[in-house]
Amino acid sequence: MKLLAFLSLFLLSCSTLERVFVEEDLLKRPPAKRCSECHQKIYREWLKSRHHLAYTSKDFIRTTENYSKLKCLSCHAPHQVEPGKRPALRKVFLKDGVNCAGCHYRGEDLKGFMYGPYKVFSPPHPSKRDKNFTSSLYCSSCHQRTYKEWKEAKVSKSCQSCHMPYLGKDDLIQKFPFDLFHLAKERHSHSFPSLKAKEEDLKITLEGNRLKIVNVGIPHNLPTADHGSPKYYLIVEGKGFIIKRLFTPKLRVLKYKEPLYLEVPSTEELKVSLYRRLSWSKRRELVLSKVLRASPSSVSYQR
Amino acid sequence: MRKFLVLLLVLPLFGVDKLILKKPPESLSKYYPPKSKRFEWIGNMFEMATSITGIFVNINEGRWDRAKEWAERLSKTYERTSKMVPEWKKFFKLELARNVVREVERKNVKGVVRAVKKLGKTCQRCHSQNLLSVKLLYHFPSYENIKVEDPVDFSEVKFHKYMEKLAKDFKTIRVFLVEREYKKLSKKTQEFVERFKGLKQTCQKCHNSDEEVAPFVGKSFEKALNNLLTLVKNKEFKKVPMALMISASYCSKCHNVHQIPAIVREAFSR
Repeated sequence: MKLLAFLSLFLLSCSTLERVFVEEDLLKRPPAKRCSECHQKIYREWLKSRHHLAYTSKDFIRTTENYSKLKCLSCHAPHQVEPGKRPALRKVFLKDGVNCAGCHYRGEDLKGFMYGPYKVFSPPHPSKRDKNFTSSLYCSSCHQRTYKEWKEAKVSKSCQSCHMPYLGKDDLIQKFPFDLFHLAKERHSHSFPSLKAKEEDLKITLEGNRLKIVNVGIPHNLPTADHGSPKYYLIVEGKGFIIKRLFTPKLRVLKYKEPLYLEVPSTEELKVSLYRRLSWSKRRELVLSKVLRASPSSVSYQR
Repeated sequence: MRKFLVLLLVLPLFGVDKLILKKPPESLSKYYPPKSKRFEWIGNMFEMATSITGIFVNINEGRWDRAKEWAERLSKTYERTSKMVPEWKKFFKLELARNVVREVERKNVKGVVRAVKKLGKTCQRCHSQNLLSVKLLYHFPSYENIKVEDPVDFSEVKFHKYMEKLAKDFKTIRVFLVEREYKKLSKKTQEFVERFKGLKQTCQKCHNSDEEVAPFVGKSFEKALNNLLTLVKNKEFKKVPMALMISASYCSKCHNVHQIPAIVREAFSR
């Protein structure tokens, strides 16, 4: 019992203690696999993410002509992400893509700290809290265009609130004895899902001969990307006509709460379908499909 | 003495009535993307040019020791470069590069100028035969890998094919104008404008910022195309030819930059 009390005091009293138990390679920007020795769940989530494939995806290799477009590389294998600053290219473990150390480690090798949203006691790698981890500014280092769109949307929801979905309270660590050092924390997924708009996120109505589409639920452009080429496909079918419109970040977008109008011929019934294709995918996914019918008493249409 | 130290390495690509582009040897491709991202070949050219400047800057200031360092650097880079593309080895005269070092060692200003001029002629000979084709082939990206999603029918096509569609749209509009087929003209103009605006998808494959491409596909481009659409919609057909020509001026803007390298690349790839 005395020993336990002594140990507890010892552990709690000395801030320099963290440096005693340091595992030095963790302070030299290790590959993600190394982090997985303790953070197993987070690692498994990250493996499912596009961040993990950021440097090795076929699409990226093709687009950069085998990594020869140098200006593209740094965000796909960042050395050190700092809020609002464009990162430099990492020199090692490039195939890791956007890895753990790229986002969480800051400072010189061996002299830096592991940063995160919580203040934690972590002897193998001294840690510091940075509240920016929960703010959209953090993502803006690379996702500059989307961040700008999000800022213009003036909403309180951050990037993380959608793209790092809440997982409940859980341990950050799954390795003995370090798992005993912490209480469970509010966990958010590191799989960074590229979520699909829901039907209620897009309000589609007909005003006279104009189809009106408003993005009411997604606080950035649809589609959005800094340099990728995600697409949305709108198909409007009526009796004797079909209208197609392509949406790309450069060509045409659905801005948050900004109506987009499309002139359509008069018709009794209108079928509106919207598909999307993610930048790296060949597959077109259905976002919504609606049939709008003319209201006899009004020029507007109802679902 | 300083008045003699004027660098005379201007490439005389002038005064010829025939210019033949030869495809550079395959071995050169090792030093350019996509095989290499370090641009070793052009890097060496810059290094040699800097070395020559380094020689004269230091001679002008009386620092012969530093001039010698630059001369040695020039000689070493020249020799290293001569081994990079075996097919071009004949252009290099290593003895002339070594002679520059010797003249600098002798501190003979006129001798250095003479030696550099002689060496420069070997560069000049290679440049006059190969510089243009190398620039056109390796200093512009390939369009082969660029695919475009057609906004009209949602098909994904190669860039070349897309340009053919666009050109066909443009000519068809002119045909419908002459034939006064206004209903067809209206539909085709809509398609042409959609496709032309759709070209913006391709710029970002290489150009990072909107500012870079603004003079080509920026606000004035949008305005010209929207004006064309409005005129057709309002049945102001007499004004359409001029609006069409203004729209076409945006074709020229990009073509003037990109078309020549694209034609040369295509010819070399056949």
